[in-house]
Parts: sequence; structure tokens; C-alpha cells
Amino acid sequence: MPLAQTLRMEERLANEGHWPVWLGWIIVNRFQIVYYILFLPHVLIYPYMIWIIPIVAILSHLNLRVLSIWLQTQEARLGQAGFTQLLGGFAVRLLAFVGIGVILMQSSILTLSYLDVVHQTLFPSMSKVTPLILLGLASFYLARLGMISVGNFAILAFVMSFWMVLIYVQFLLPQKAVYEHLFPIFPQNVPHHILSNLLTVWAAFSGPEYLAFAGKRFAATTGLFRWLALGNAATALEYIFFFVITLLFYGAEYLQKIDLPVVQIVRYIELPFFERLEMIMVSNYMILIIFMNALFIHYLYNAVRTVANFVHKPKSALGLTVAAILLVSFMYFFSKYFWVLESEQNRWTTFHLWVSGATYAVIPSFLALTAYLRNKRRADK
Amino acid sequence: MKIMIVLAMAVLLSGCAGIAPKTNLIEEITPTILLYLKEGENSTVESTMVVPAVKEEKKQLLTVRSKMMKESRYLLTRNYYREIKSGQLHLLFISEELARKGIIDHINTLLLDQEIKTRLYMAVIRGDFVSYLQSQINRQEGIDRFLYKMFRHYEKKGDMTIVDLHHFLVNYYSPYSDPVLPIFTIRQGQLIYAGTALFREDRLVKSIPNEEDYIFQFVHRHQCFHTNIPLPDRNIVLGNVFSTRKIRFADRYEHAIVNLRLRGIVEEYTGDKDLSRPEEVADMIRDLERYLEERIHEHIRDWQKLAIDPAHIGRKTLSPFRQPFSGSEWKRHWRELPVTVRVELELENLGWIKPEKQGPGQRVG
Repeated sequence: MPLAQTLRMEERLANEGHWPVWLGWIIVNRFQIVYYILFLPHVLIYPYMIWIIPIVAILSHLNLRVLSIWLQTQEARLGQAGFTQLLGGFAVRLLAFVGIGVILMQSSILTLSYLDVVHQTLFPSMSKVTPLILLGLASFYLARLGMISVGNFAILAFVMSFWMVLIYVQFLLPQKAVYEHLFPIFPQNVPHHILSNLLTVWAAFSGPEYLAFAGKRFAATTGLFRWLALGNAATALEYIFFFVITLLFYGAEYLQKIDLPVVQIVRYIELPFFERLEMIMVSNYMILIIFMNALFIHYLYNAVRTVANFVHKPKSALGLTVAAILLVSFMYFFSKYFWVLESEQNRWTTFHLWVSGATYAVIPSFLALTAYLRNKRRADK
Repeated sequence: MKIMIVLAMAVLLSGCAGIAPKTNLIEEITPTILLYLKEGENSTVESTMVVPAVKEEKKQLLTVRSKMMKESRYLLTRNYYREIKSGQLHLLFISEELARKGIIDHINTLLLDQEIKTRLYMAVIRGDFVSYLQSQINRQEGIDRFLYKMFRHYEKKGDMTIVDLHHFLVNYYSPYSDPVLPIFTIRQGQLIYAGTALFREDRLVKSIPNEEDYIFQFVHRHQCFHTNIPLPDRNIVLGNVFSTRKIRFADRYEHAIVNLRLRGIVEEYTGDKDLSRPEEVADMIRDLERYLEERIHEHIRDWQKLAIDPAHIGRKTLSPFRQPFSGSEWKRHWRELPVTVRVELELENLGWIKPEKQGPGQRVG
């Protein structure tokens, strides 16, 4: 025990262990669920849209297959050095530079959307900056414990947030549920907005692509795919469940009018000893945001190191702190200048859906393909 | 450490308090549970609130007149020494005149308010509710709570129409149904359940009187238990009635059939049939069935004339694979749709003790 206490930051970062393989499914599942769960039913609206979720889940399943092929290559297991081997130093630095932008953008938009929910439903009189800073501090604290702890934290995030599904089970029962709201479950004529909905749901399944850079963190990568696929399936079930209950409760026409059905539906629950259950529920989702941002702080730190060519120097606590400050201050300025009007927010959200949809589609296949080509070339020689 | 605690206790217990001892936040706000909206002059709305008592004060009624809903809360707060909070709002009463003009604007404001939950019971009031509340508050302080308990009780039991904000809006937005609300009358200082108010969109168009409210309950609910169904026209009171309603469509949705199965007992009978003779009982049952069928059919015709579908029969046209009518098509189709009502009455018991009647010879005890 004294050893663990005296371990300094550098040593802790250097002596990191590994994630067990089964952690894959929890990380995938929680990373996909983050925030999307709150508004997805509002996007889908019509009963027949339910088919989009399994269709996209299958596509995502295939994509995870590609991801696990990449993760099994030896380049992926090498981490930073592997990328340099694969793409060359300059390309890696260029891509890392783009990655910084993507990470900052994604984490800001997801965090700020979540904070808006907090602001609207829980603390309308509180400044939006306070929870932002508190969230940043929590994520930083978690990030400081090292990448392995961040990964293990996914278990906590799962335990703390998954039980909330149980609250919603009552909405499947009559009185509250009107089963006719689910009909007709097959489209009667040519459905509209199907492409934009496909994109949204695809983006809602995004997130696991960040595991592509964490290849060396897993204890082993054989059998990893099965766990990733399990996480993906759990996400699909969760999305379907939430879509069905909101639809049963509201019906398509009413659902259109409600921005955050998953939050609003909780307001209907009445417990004899407690009201306003959404207070607990909404703040519980914070744990997912903390998990996500802690992971992003590490990624950001690594990306900055790569761009600045500091890869060979040892990791330091100071560097991580700087990365965290960079992330939080970017969020702050972003929220101050670009995230004010609702129309702006909607534009950014659309942009975000495109970006995360694109990264999820491109990163695994790109990496797997380059690794395949390189190995083939080597074999030919 | 111990000395510190003793010192702290000494200070706390010394009673050196100011004029206003520190209060909890809950004592500085007024979470109201009852709101009454009435039409005022010049398209304004009069909002009346029962302000709860904290400690030794008395309950009060506050009324303001305003053009908009939230303006009323702003005014109410400034009219009172505590801040008005609506987080505990559980009852919303609307005057009949206002309901006839349309209420969706007021309701939407409530829906958007994050403090207010959608489990907010609503009712239409006919009569002077403010003076009723005033007189009740003087007599029994907890009137707002008692009313809330009444709504809760009947929501579970299901004898009356009890609607909350959520259900109202679900039926309002759905093209296959129209909302309803219970209606209460103030008569001689009493609040009386007076049946069901039927809405087209957000406007009250008709109300079903209390005496025939059971008809609405039969058709409106898939299954329902009724403690008593008095049918004074037929000299009978049915008891413990369990009703099951089924709606079918025939001839490619050109014909609707409402099947109603009632199972219950005879609770009271003052007619001149001899209930110990099976053929007379069968006669009576047939007569009752015809009677109910006619009454129900009359009501459904009424709804069709008004182009409303309060019993959401339209929902039943939907099936997993088919949507024969879009919302607007259904509204047109419903007005002209022939409806057949079939009632099946099963009397499990004709009363435990057969009354011995002094008739002209034909009755055997």
C-alpha cells in the first residue's frame, strides 16, 4: 500500500497495466450512449423508423469487425510507434493535428449539449460556467489516475447509469402505454428524412472508433471482437427500448413537440416519497460525460505530443494538466461565442453528427486497410 | 474539541436571536397546488391560486388578471410576501366559458415549464369556483389537498373521467382521438361531479351529464369496473359491473361495431318482473341490452355530428401492417361511419335476497 501511495505521476503513467478484454463491451456501450440517448427518440419520431436502429446496428457491427481486425495488427499493439511505422512521421503529425480539432469539437458539443439539459431542467438560475468547470475538474481528476483507471471507470459509469433503464420499464405497461401509438410499424408510403435519420443513428453508434488508438491498452486482442459486438448490441437494444417507451407514452405527433423525451417522460413518474426524479436521472448522466472527457483529455494530450514532436519525452503530470486546461478553456470560449442561439446550436449539432459519423466510418477501415497493404507489401518483398 | 462543542451549544441555546430567526428556504416560498383559470374581461385570464399556509397563518386565495399565463405568476409573486412556486402544482381547474374558447395556449405554457409536471389533474368548472373555495377554506383548511386526493382516488378506481395534462395532450395531438375532461358544477356551495366535457381540438363542445356518464365510461375504456350503474328509467341498479369493450370494423372499414360486454349483479330492482323466473329475467336482460344499445348509439351519433372522437375509436383502425386512414381522412370518414352497438349483459346474480312483493297473486316468494 505505501508503494502505491508513493508512486509518482510519471511512474504511474509509465507503469500502466492493461484493460481486460471484456472491458471492451462496456467502453463501447457507454461511449455510444453518451448524450444521444436523451434526444434520439425525438429525431426518429415515427414508429416505422424503429427499423433504422437494427439496420444501423448491423452496419456498426460490421464496422466493429473492421476495427477489431485493425486492433489485432501488431502496429495497433505498438501504439504511437506503430502509427509512425504505418504512415510515416509527417502524416501522423498532420492527422494528429486534425484529430485535435475533432476531439475538441466533439467533446465540446456533447458536453455543452448535456450542460444545456442540466441548465434547462435542473438549475435554470445557475451560471453555465460553474458546472462546466466542475465537470472539467472531475474529468481531470479521473484522467490523472491514468488511462487504465479511465478505462476501468467505464464499469462505474455503467453501474451508475444503466439502472435507470429500470425506471422506464413501467412505461411499457397499459394505462401509461397506448399500444396503438406503435402502429403502423411498417411505412405506408415512401418515408421522408430517412437519410438524415440514418446519419443521426449512425452518429449515435459512433464512439468506438476512439478505441482504435488504444490498441496497446488491451491485455489481449484475440476475442476482443465478440466483446465489442456485445457492447454494440446492448446499445441497439437500449436505443430501441427508449424509442419504444417514448413512442408508447407520447405517440408520434406529440413526440415531435418534445425536445428531450427521455427526460420529460421521467417527470411523469410519481413516487410516494420523492418527486422530480429527473433531478437524479439527469445528474447521473454526468458520470458518462466525465468518463468521456477524461478519455478525451488523454487523447488530446497524446495528439498534442505527437504534433509538437514530444513523443520521445516521458509523459508528465504537467502536460496532462495543460491538456485538460486546453479542453475546458476551449469549451468555455466555444460556449461563449459559438453556442449561444438555438439556431447556432442546431447547426453545430448537425455538423457534429456529420463529423462523428465520418470518423466512425473512416478511422477503422482506413487503419485496417493501410495495415493490410503494408503487411502485404512486406510479404511481397 | 469538547470545549468547542460546549461553547457552540452555549451560543446556540442562549436565545440571542434577532427579530426573524433564520428560516428554511421552504418557509420563504409558497408552493401552490391548485390553480383556477377563468375568463376575464378584454381577453384576459383571471388566475386564482390557493396559497398554502406556512406555520400560523391562514390559507388565502390570490387572484390576478393577466393576458398571459406566466404574467399571472409574475403578478402573483409581486402581490404576496412570498415567492410563488409552481413546482407542486397538481390541480388545474378551468372555467367552462374559458374552455369553450380554447385552452391550448395556457396548457402549452404549463407543459413548457420545467417545474410543473405533466401529472397535473385538470377539470372544467361550471359555476363560481372562487367563492366556493373561499367558503371552503374558512370551513376546512385542507380543501386543496382533499380535492387532490379525490382525483387520485378515482384515477386508480376508474369510475369517473380523470384526466391529467399528459393524457389531455396525448389525445389533443393525436389525430385519432379528441381530449376530454371531467366537469364539476358548483351548486349550493357543493362541488358536484357533473359528467364529462368533450373537446374538439382544445375547445369544449359538449358535455355528457353525470346521469349518463357511465355510457362514456363504457365506450371510452377498454376495461373498467363500476361499483354502481343506476338505470332509473328501467327501475334497476346494476352493481359490480365489469365492462369490456371491443371495437371491430367490417366491410373494409365502412362499418364499425362496438361490442360491449357487461358482467355484474342486480343490486336493486323495483320493476314488476319476477326475477326468480328465468324467462322473465331473460326478458329483462334483453330489454336492458336494447335500452343500453340505444342510449350508447345515440351518444355516438352525437359525437359523429360534432366530428369528435372522444372514445378514440379511430385508434382501433391502426394495425401493425396497415394504416387505412391518415389522421385527416379518419376525421372525415368518422362523421359518416355507420356504427352498430352490441351490448351483452351477463347478470351473475339477481340479488341475494329476493324481495317479497305483495303483488296480485302471481308472485311466489
